Amino acid sequence: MSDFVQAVARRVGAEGEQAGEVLARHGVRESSILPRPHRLLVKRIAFTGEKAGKSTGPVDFSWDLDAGLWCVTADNLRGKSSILEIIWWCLRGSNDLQADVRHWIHHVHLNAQIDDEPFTVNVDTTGDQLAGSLTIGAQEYVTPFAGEAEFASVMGAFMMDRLGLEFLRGWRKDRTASAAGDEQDADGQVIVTSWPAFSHALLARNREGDALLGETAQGGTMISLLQMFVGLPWTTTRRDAKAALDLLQQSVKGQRRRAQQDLQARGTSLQQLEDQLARAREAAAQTDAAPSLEAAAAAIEQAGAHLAELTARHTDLVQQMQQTRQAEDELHETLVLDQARLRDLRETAVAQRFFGALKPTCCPRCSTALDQIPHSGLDEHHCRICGSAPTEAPVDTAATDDLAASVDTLGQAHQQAKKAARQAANAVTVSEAAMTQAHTALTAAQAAMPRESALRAHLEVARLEGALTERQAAERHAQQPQTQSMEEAVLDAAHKEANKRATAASEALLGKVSTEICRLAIRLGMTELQAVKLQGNGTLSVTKGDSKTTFTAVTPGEHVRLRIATLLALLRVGKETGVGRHPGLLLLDSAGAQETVDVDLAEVLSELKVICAETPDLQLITATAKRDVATTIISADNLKAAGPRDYIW
Amino acid sequence: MRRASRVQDAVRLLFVLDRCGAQCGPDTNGRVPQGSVAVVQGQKRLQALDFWLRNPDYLADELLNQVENGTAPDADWSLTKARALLEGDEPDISRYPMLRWRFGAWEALDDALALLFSHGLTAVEAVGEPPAKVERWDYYLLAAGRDLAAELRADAPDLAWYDERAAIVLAVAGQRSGTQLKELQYQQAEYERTVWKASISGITERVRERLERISGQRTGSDA
Repeated sequence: MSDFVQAVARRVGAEGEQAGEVLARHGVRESSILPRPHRLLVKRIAFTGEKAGKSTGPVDFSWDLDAGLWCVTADNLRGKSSILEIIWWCLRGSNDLQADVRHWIHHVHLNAQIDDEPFTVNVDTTGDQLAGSLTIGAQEYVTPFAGEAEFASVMGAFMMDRLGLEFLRGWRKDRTASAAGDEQDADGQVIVTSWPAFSHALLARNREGDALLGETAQGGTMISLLQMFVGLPWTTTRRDAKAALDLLQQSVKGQRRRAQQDLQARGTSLQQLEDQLARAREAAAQTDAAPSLEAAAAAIEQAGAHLAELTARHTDLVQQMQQTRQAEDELHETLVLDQARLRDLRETAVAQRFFGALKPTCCPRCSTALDQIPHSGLDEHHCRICGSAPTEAPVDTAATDDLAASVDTLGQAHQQAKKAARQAANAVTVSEAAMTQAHTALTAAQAAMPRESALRAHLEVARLEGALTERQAAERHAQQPQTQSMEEAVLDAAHKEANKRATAASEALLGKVSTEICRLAIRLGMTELQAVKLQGNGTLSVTKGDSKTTFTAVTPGEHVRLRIATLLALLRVGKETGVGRHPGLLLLDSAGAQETVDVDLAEVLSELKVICAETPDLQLITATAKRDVATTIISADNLKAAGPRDYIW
Repeated sequence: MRRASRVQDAVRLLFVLDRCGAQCGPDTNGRVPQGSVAVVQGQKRLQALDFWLRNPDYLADELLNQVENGTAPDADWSLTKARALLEGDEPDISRYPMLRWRFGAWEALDDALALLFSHGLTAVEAVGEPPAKVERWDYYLLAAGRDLAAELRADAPDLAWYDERAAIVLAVAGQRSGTQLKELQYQQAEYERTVWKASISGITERVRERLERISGQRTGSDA
């Protein structure tokens, strides 16, 4: 376990292994030891093409170079900047050429080497189409590319690898989002510094005014470049830790925000859920206490059986009742008939007795008096109308008596039958009541059946418990975390530890660089300069004429001097202290563009020449419009010059 | 269908004439037979009176009609009589159904009347120009008939009910004509609906229910 990991672990009071694990998981690299610097040297630049527009004609340019100070000079707008830019384009892979140059150029060929490994870049353009190849090493391993994106990708991968550069991670806050809220809550994203950004260390132009190094001062580019010139130990670690911490905090913040939105979106509150759960638990307890489904079913079954039994008995009783009623009806009918017959018999007998005793007076048909009809002479006992003999037998009362006895018997039987029928009807009434009771009992048993099974009630409890747990978790996420998580703490500690170490390491180094910048800037003509201080974040404070100012506030001429001085100081200090990682190639465009006095450029070029001599592995390629100055100071071998109003190619 | 014996028919008619016959006035036109004491004018009236006598449920219902429409001279008496008529098996035992004929309930009277006539108990007179144009038959009770009725009333308990019932029939019918009585009897749905030549069925149960209802209303209103 490294000293750094242990230091981080001590800061958070955690086990070293745990801290190491967190750092590894978030890709926080330790960078106490810097890789050795590599050397980039351009050997030859050549290109062909066809000019169009005001000036026409074929183009065929080639220039062999080596270490040391090189200069291309011509009138302004005669192509000298284009040469530097074409070199830079080939090394970078990204198109930064001016539109007209890009238009007429057909073929570009660059020979260069990194350390002792040669490589060649060939690019062919036809209209908007681009194709080419990167050939590496003595074996001439060829990587073809088509299109600008692929060109950039191939050059980026090659350079990052061969120059031993690491991708630098940083964090950039989302400015547009923060406009609405406060800065603290703004989201951001991890940005990665790769070759297109690093490559700015190779080129210094006078177009940009605010940045000491590179194109702009934004997004940590300056620090990345500074890191490239003088590899400051622990800065990579610091950046890694910071980026990881920012990412983690954003993640936590997002989680909290989502949880809050989630909570708002969901209607039910924690309290509601708790109430629901309490009710569900109560219901479950009730279902547990209530008679079981089986018991209830058994009760229903029993009640049903009882009802069925009573119903059957009732049916029997009804049938019995109907039978007794029918018997009674039949008896009654017979009784009435017999009574009627008895009445007829008795009445007839009595009436006959009376009529028999009467003496008819006339024929009922003709009203003839009876003493005038033939039978009138017969005795008293014969019928005086029809002359029939008197009835011998007295009136037979036996039939009447029998019938009377039968009527008595029938009457008694009928009374009994009536009683039986009444009893049967009573039995039916009682049975009906019992049946109604049994039916009520069955209905009650059915009503007592548990409406929901205990299982369902328990399932509801489980569901609500789950919902409550989820809800509580959401609430926790939504709440402001009380303490940092271990991850956050470790990353925070790593950032602080790395920062401490980086600051300690860079202070001495930046002090040396600052001294060197001051010295070189004075040599380059800033005679009033008293002190320069380069800070770890890439800002440069300047003291001249007893007052403090900044890099961005000085005059354009001083800008150029300070920039060149800074570049050279970084190279030199890096070289001296063994932490310099710059590949040693510098493209200086229009070093004297802002100068109004020729001697100033002469001074700069002279000094650059001396500095190159002092610094063996440096290759400086400059472009200037001051042809006279250039030809005076730079040897013809190292100079590419065009005549007045001539194109350099 | 139950048929009464000839003597029963004779006894019944005798009591009807005795109880329901109008007292005979002085003989003004020489048509009233010698010794007549009462008369029922027209066969229609005689048949109608006989129908009520032998169908106690219809008689009871008419009593109830009179109670309800307020024409009963003594409502309590009517209700008591109606109840007695419907008592026990009496309606069935004393019922002698009649056929529905051209002008309502009808039964041939000749045999029974012949018995009464031949014994010198009654007389029958045709009104109009007999034998071709008889407008009406009038039935006279002679003094001998009244004597026999009195004798039967006193000495034959088995026959006494005819006399009692005839008295109720008179109370219901009064001296209304046969046509008026027929119309009254036709108001009974069962009577009216009976097809020609078929026996007119009883209405006992319906009248019993009606009696209970009316009695209940009366005791209710009395209270």
